[in-house]
Amino acid sequence: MLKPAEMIARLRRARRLVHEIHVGTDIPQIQSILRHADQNLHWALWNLGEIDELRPDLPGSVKPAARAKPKPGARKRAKKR
Amino acid sequence: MPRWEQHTAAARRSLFWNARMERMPRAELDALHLAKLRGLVAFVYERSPYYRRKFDERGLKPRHIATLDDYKRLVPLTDKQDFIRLQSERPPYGDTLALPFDLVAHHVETSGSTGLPLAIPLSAYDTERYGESWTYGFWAHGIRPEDSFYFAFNWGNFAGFWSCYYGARRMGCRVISGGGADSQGHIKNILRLKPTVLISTPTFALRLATVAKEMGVDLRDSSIRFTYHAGEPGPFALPAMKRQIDEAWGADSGELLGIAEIEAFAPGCPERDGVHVNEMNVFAWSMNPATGAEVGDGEVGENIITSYTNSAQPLLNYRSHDLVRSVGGCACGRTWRKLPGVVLGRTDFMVTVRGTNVYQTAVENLLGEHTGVSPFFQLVLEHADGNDRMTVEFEPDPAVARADWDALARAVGDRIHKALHVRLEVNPMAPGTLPRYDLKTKRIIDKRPKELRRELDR
Ligand SMILES: [Zn+2]
Repeated sequence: MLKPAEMIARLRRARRLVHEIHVGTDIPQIQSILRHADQNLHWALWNLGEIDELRPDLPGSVKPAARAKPKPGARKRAKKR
Repeated sequence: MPRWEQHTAAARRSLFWNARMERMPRAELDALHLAKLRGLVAFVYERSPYYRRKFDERGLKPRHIATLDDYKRLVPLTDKQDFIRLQSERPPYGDTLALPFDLVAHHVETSGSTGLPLAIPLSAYDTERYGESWTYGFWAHGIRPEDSFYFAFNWGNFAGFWSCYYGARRMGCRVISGGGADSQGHIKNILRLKPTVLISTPTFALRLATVAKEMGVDLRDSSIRFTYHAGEPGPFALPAMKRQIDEAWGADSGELLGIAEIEAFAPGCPERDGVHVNEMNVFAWSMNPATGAEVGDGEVGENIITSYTNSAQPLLNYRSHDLVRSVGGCACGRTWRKLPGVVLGRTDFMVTVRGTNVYQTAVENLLGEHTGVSPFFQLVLEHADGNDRMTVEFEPDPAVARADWDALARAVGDRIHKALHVRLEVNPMAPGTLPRYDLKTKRIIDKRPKELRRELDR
């Protein structure tokens, strides 16, 4: 079984993919379906206690992929903030 | 290759729709609430002219909300009347809308039982989330995707069971609309289409049972295995109602507490004696309606609700006017706050009769349990000689002989006196004379002049 953190990482990746296809097509039907899919992915994240924003269409909702592992020092700084 | 089933065998065995969240420790739930509430406050401040104005009047900024106490204390209470007024000034939604108009995907309304209906705009996402509250209750009740739903309900703009429909769709059940059918038509539809779940108001389930009997149909032999109710005090609020519905249908009755404009926010507990607040979808706390102060765990207070679901017309610290006793912890394992007995009364119908506080549901419970009393009764409130007076009008069961009505009324009066320490006038009425309701049975007939009601009762 996947751990919650693993589920969350995959759901976030799925949202990025969905978003990528949405902006990469001009077929209205496919765009509508993808928007629905993203809503459901957002809802899955919400029900894993991961998300606190009300709607998937708010600016910045689809998070960019995390970069390579942050250096230990960088992580500490981020926490302090 | 086997088909990709909706649920794995392990998932099907789960007693919970989402065990992790339904059993989340309180501290974690509260941390989640705080994060969500802060997000919600920022959302409404930026997007809803109504909330922006209310916050600015108080010099309140989203950054002032640092704790749950801040939220309860600083974010102004909202009330249905404000929304109705703003909507009637500038229909359909006034400046209560927080989303662009084109994102409103479903318009529904309250039943208007206390006056003008309140318009409820929902975005597509709002409808899905709203439905999910039902699904928690269905799953806990034993309903599974292979079940099928019969809605004994006339579909209009009334929010009522629309959200239940969204929930049944989420679970993937077959849904059958009973729209347009009369009581006999519903019975015939059930016999022909063989649904396993009946959705109706609790009193309508009893009415259908009466009609079926007249038709010579024994509903205990029907395909219905579960009944699920909302809209008025049901089986988890009134033990007598639970017994009557279970017996008439030979099924397990369930109940959900919802408020049209808020959410179907409190699905039933499998212990069948109350409901749990869906803490994924709403934040709720209890307030002393007279002082505005928060009441302690297990004390009766007004349920103040914030919805995370309705992003089109957000409701923050919304006064439900429902009196509840909210407790933490339950034998079923859920950590979500429980409301034993569901709604215990209304702030508007907690009347004081001869110095005693009388809650509508307390009287209803006693009447429902009393042998010889039919499900048709009402409580009439009047004001005489400087006092509020409550009269109970009930129809005796048709099996009770006319000569025994007065003795029955006296016995009912004694029972109420013994249990509630107040003597009420109890009048038997001829069977068939009290009004019947398809939706929202009206139990209270308030004849008191407005100016003589307490502030909360107006
Ligand atoms: Zn429970």
